[in-house]
Amino acid sequence: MRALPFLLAAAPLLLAATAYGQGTSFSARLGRNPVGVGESFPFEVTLSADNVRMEDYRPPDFRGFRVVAEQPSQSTQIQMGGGGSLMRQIYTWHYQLVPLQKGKLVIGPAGVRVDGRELRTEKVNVTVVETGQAPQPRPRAPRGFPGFPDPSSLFPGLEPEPEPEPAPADPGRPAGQRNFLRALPSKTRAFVGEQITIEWSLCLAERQNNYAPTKEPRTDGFWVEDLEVPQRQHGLSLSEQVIDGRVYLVGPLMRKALFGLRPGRTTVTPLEADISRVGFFGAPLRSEHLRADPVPLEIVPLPAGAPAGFDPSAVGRFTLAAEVDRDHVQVGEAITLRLRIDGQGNLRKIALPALPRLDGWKIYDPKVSVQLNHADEIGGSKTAEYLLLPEKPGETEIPPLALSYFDTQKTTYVTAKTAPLRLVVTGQAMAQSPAAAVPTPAAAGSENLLAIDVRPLRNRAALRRDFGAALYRSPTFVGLVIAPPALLAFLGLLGVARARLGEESEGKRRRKLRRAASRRLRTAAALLHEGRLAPSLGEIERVLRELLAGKMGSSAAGMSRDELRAAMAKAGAAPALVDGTVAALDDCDRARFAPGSITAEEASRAIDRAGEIIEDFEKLGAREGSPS
Amino acid sequence: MKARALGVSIAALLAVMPALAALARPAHADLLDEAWKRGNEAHLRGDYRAAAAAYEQLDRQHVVSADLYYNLGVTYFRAGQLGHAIWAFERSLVVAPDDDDARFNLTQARKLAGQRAHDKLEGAEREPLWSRVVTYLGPSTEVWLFCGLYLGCFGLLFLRRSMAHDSRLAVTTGAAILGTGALLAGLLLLGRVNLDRLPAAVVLPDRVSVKEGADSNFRTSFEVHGGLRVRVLDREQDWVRVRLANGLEGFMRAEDVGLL
Repeated sequence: MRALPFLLAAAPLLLAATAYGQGTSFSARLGRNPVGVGESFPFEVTLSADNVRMEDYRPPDFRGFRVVAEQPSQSTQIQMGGGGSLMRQIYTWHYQLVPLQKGKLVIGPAGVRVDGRELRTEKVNVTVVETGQAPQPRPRAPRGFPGFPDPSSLFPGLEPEPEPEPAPADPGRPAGQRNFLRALPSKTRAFVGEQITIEWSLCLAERQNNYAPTKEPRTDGFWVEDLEVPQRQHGLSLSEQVIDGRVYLVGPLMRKALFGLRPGRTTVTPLEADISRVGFFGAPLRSEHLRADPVPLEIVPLPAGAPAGFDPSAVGRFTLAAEVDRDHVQVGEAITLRLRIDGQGNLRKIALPALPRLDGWKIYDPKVSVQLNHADEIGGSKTAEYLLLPEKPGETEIPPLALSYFDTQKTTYVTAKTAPLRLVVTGQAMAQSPAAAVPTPAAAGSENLLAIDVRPLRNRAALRRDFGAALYRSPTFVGLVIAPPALLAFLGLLGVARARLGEESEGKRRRKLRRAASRRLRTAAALLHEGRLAPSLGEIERVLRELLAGKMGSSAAGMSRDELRAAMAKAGAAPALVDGTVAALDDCDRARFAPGSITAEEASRAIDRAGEIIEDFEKLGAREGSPS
Repeated sequence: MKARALGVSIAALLAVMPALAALARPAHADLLDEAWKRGNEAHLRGDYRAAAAAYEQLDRQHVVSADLYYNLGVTYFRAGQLGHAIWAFERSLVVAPDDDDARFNLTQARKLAGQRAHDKLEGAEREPLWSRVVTYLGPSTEVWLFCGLYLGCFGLLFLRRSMAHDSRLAVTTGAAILGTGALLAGLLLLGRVNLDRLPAAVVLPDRVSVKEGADSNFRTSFEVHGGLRVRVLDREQDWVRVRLANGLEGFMRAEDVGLL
């Protein structure tokens, strides 16, 4: 016993060693035996070895046979265990042979060299009989184990012969598909409102790893309820089923109960899905897109003769019951009336019978609840709970309530009815609505109970409106917000525009001043030419004073010389320009007050100097950029 | 001189604009007053149905009035329609949060409704702080406050343009103070606009089944009772998707909720 743990621990290693010890095998296998003359059959030679170097394969001697197909293949088998893995290379040569003569024939041994060691297969005896006398190959279904890769899928060339696909006896099986989606309706013709169950299943010839629906079926024209589908904890619940003589793994995908809403022919569109297998490391090996057949259905109208007030949703089998929680109450004490429909059918859509108006009772909106069983046939119960509040004493009878439905089994209309209910109310009648109990004058010595009440109405002469509350949601408010900044911006822009216009007028003014100065200087020169010295210098004085007034912004007339100097300096004139201007004005004064004291040459120089002063003032103005 | 006169004129205009807006009476004011009187008279003689019809007519004309909602609430209460009454009192308080009468009546209506059925919300959350701040003042107060401060700020800015340099500093300071106030009031209004995106509503009938989808055929998720406050998330034809204070969501008929 003490050695047991060691044995258990060593078991995987032993298993691995055993697997490794299997070593190299080289064998030949016949697809079937006997075979008929001229009938093809498969033959394969297999080399299984662990990490070896294989060379010099020599095919068997096929004397007496015709080789119609030959295909080599290679695969790797990985075995996990013992804390490691073993890789085994499998080389297979597939042949498709046709015997050429009857009798006992022999397929000779095949040969190969493995790691320098020569291996040979055994001879294989083949019995060849007359054509048609050999037993035909069995259907493919039992080949391999369900859920495991079909061995033939590894050896596609080894197919004994192309198997004709059986006719699709199963209505839900698309012809010519190994894996397919099956849509099976419980019936294809039903009354309006009668249940049709459709089950969609995934049918697999071999187990897959992934299933993903890509398109759900459309069920236009039907009221649909989902039915329960058996599910395994992880993935589909697959079970083996024989379909058309072949074993499939079948897993139900979805089941729906359909209730036709209007008569006519309609088709439930196909369910589409992708299935795929993945490799050892999760990489997809092969994927396949599957599409179930569409399901054409015919919905026929209900027969004539429906009772008055019949609800077309009431198709199936139903019972109706009504009960109250108590039948003797005081005024103001509410009772609960339960109205319940049980049965099979589209209970969710079916309308409950309307409760008649009961005199002296306030009936509140019912609380409706539906309990459905989604196993196979939709059924269960639908309950409405009415709260009834008696407002005055007396006896009341709730008359029988009726539910007419179409019985699909009897194909006739049936009316279910409840028993009448008798209610007795005692106590004093309510004076007013229960929400507004009016206080009654209290008797002397009694308790004056003041019920919950509200403060009275506001009976103002005119309606007071709250404009502000409405204003902030109105476009007017947006305008009110935008207008002031917009106006401010507009005025700002207007100011800038005006300033720019002002700049232009200054320029014009300067040009005008320049033109006037030029004109006066020309006049002065003309007067000098005529010998009129005093008027000539008078013109020069005028032009200088106008120039000074333009530059300083105020008239120079009446200023003392010192004031003039200070004003010119403030205007930015250089001292030399100030001195020259003052000297020119002094010359002009001298010519005016003492005309004989000035010569023609001096007058001519005064004109030149005035021209220079004007030029200097222009430069001064250009440097400042704007008039002072 | 012209610029100065213009600035003063604009400033004066901005100052009187809110007053003009407040005093403006719509052309059909007489008709509104007539409906108001009709409703009051019907209520006083006990004809609550006629009174509610008259008040509802005013409401349909988008008349915003705390008094109107107050009277409507009293009328609904007298008629026993507690969900509607709670909605009307709530609405009155939205317009005038400091209305003591409406607050008292709302409490009374909720108390009475609670005797019939009470929705206790597990895990209900309070309204966020910013929402409470935004709704602390009524919309009317916020609007007039904003308008006064905003227009006052710009009025001073217009005046500043026409004033001598010496006086400009004082005017600029005044404009900055008013502008800051206007900014705060504007934030309150913005918050209110944001609240309007997910409007609050009140359940009107005594009991309503909240569905999983926008159709009566869908399963009932849960039930609510008249007077419960909900938020309306969106609308699908005749149905609205509502959210409760505890996060539960579902679909109700639009006619079963009253927007605040």
